[in-house]
Amino acid sequence: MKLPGLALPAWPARHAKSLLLGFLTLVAYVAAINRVQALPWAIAALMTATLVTGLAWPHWLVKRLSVVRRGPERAREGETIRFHVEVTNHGRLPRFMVELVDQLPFVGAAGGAVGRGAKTLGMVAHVPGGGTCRFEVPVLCEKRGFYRLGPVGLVSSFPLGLAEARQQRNDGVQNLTIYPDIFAIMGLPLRGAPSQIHRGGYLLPEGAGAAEFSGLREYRRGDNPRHVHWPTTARLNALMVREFEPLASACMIIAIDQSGMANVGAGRQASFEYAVRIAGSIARYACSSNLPIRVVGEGSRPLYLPGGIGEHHYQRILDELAVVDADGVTPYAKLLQRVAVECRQGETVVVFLGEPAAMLVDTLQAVALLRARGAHVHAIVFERDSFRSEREVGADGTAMAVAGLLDMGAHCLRVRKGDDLVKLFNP
Amino acid sequence: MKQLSPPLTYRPAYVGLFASLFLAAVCNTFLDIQYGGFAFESLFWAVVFGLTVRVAWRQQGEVAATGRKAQKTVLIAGALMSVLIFIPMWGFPRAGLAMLAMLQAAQNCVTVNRRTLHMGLLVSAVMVMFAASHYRADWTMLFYLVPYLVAVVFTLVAEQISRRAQELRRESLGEGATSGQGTAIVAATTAILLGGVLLYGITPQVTWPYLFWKHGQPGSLGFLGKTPGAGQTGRQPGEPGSGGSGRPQQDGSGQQDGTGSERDGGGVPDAGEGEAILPKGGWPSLQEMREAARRNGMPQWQSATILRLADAVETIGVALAPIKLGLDELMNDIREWLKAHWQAIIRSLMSLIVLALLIATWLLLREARAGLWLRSRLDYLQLGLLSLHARGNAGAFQYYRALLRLMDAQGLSRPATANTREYLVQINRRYEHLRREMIEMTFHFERARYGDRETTATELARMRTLYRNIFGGLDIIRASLQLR
Repeated sequence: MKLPGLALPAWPARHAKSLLLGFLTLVAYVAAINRVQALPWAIAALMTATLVTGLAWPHWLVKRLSVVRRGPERAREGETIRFHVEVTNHGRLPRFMVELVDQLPFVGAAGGAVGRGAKTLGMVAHVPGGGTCRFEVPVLCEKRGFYRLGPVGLVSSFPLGLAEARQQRNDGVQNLTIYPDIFAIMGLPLRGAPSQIHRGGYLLPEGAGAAEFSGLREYRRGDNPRHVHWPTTARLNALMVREFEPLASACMIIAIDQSGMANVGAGRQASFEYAVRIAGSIARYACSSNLPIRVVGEGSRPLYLPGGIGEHHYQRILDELAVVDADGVTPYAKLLQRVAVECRQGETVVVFLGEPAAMLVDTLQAVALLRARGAHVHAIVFERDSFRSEREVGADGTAMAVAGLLDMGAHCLRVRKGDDLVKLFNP
Repeated sequence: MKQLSPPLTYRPAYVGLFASLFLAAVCNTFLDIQYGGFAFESLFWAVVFGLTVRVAWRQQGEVAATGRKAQKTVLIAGALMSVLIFIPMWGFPRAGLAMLAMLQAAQNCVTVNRRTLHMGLLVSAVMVMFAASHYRADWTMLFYLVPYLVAVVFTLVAEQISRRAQELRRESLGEGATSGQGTAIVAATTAILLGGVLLYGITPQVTWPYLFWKHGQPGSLGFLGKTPGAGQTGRQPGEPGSGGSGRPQQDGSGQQDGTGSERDGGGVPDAGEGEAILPKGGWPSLQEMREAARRNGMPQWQSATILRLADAVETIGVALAPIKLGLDELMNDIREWLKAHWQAIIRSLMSLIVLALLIATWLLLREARAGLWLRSRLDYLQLGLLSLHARGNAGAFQYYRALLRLMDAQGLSRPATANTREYLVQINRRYEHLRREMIEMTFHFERARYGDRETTATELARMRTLYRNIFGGLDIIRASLQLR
């Protein structure tokens, strides 16, 4: 245990061992010069050799070594990936006890400590001259994000830890995208939006189920000319178009709250991380069900993904969700107002409410606007108190938010820290 | 909370500790070799240290009740043996040393961390120092002293490496490649020992009395005799003194007689023997080796080894005698030749030095690309300042070539396979702030090179301005400061 008042300055503390050995060596020489004996000289020589070896050898050991670290460039949160590390000795003499230090910012990020902290990949006890040493390092992808890994550095304090030599190169620099941990959703309470088929939004119903032929009627301005039924038009000498029964086709907007105020908690257990996981999972459900989905957010970098379906669209959403952050200053109410302008009647809008109580009033008004525009609101309400640490204080408006949302007829789901999201979404 | 002293759980460290303590005890036992109890005493210490170190090893880094109990048992046994055997048999200080060894044996039972390991090694060093400074100690003790030093270094290195490896295994993300740790320990031990041997070999083993004598300082040496260090100046431990009387034969003091006074050198005129002022070193003679081998109580293996060593030295000496003779003759010839031609040699050496300096200068200039640098400055003088360029397209070519040289001097030479546009991209990547000038310069050159008309004087003037801007804007740091 270090006593605060007795802390050594950095340099002597770092070289305490060397200084002590140097002092002892000096004492040994003084003793030797005062004695007419050979043994003290031998001891002094041995101590000098120890000192010189301990100080000089590490610097030589890290020279003429190269490191290659290979690993996947994409991974999923919670997945264990394997880095293949290869250390090559370009020198003729062997190298011993070389430590490999890497910059892996995602390690330890689950607790909220994202930084450029160096992590030791492992140690190579012996690399023969001109030889190569390989090993694997399993690493857990703790938190989603886009990370720059490396460079891998070499460190050695062999053999006695008297000095530490470091070598930093640009070996092993790569990017790693960690996608959010997506969970399965079997079904969502969606409502259909009227088909756009007669508004020229869609040229023709694609596949089965978007619309069904229900009859013929006279052409009206704005009808899609492709739906003109030419045989009947010729027979009646008047433009007739096919009429389709509009089938309810659900579509969705996910509005992510990226304001820093709404995010509570740290690391992987922050409310924003839950929101991202939920958003990604809903996106997967929507894309696999062929439902058009949009994702919007207002962070330091605007997030806007236009409507789309399919695997490619899902991948785009995942790419965005991997890097999205709660770094915005725009109130969530403003984002929802913008969504209200853009959304269509019957469209499902997924909203995330985790703001402090003081801001909830505006947000609920914006939700009311959404409802007024005919949108179906699916609200995920975060219980701020459960995400907060004991030291943090602040009013929790969860009850108010839920009451307000239920009043407006929105579908509401409460999320607490540590909840099993799979169970929550698949009751 | 971090432990003050890390636990000791590595087998090599315990092996080394046992070896160090055992050899230290054997060094002391060796002093009484003529009494014939060497084998028994060695066995006794081996058993004592072996058992107690084993007790420590079995505790795996944490003191257990068995360790404390064993410690007390060994302590009581040691006390009894001290009173009943050691003190009556040897008396002090030898008995004191045996008591110290027993205390360490008791401590061995609870040697479970690094601090106690180092304490054990320190105790062994004290024991060895005692043995080595004893008057009976001589070169034959090297048979135990050298392995002791190896054991100590091995222990320290093994402990450090094993502990570091264990720490890394605990802290690092992966296991790494841990095979070869034994090789690392052996390599480090060997390197340190070899370094020690080398340093020991080249270190002049002087003493204060020797330095005082050598440099004319007054020193109370207790003797006045022949030149120190010659081996006849005093009584070496274990042998009768043969020091003479008189004062050292210093320069200019030859006229003085051998009956010096205290004022002259602090010597005692009638002193028959004196203290050695330099450690006795060197390889023992064949006679000495064979006499040592016949010493009473000398172990059979050691005696045989010494005799074989003596035989080997003799054989090698006989075998190498003609070579040595030849080498001596050769050296004499060389000396005479050097004496005869020393002036020519000095002249040749001086010429070689001058040549080497010239080559080094040439290499330096080539490395620094001084020619190119100078040429680019001359270009600036000619084209940028004095505007001495050709007319028409030739002038445009001159400016572009000057630009190429300028860039080349900045380490951005144009690859043979790159066209002007590709080269422009490369330049722009580095000199972002000169992008416009570079593009325009390239454009003018391309028009001159591939165009259908001659370059006008206005265009050449523009190229000159561009060239000057580029020349002045190459300092990226200064440019970035200006941009701010």
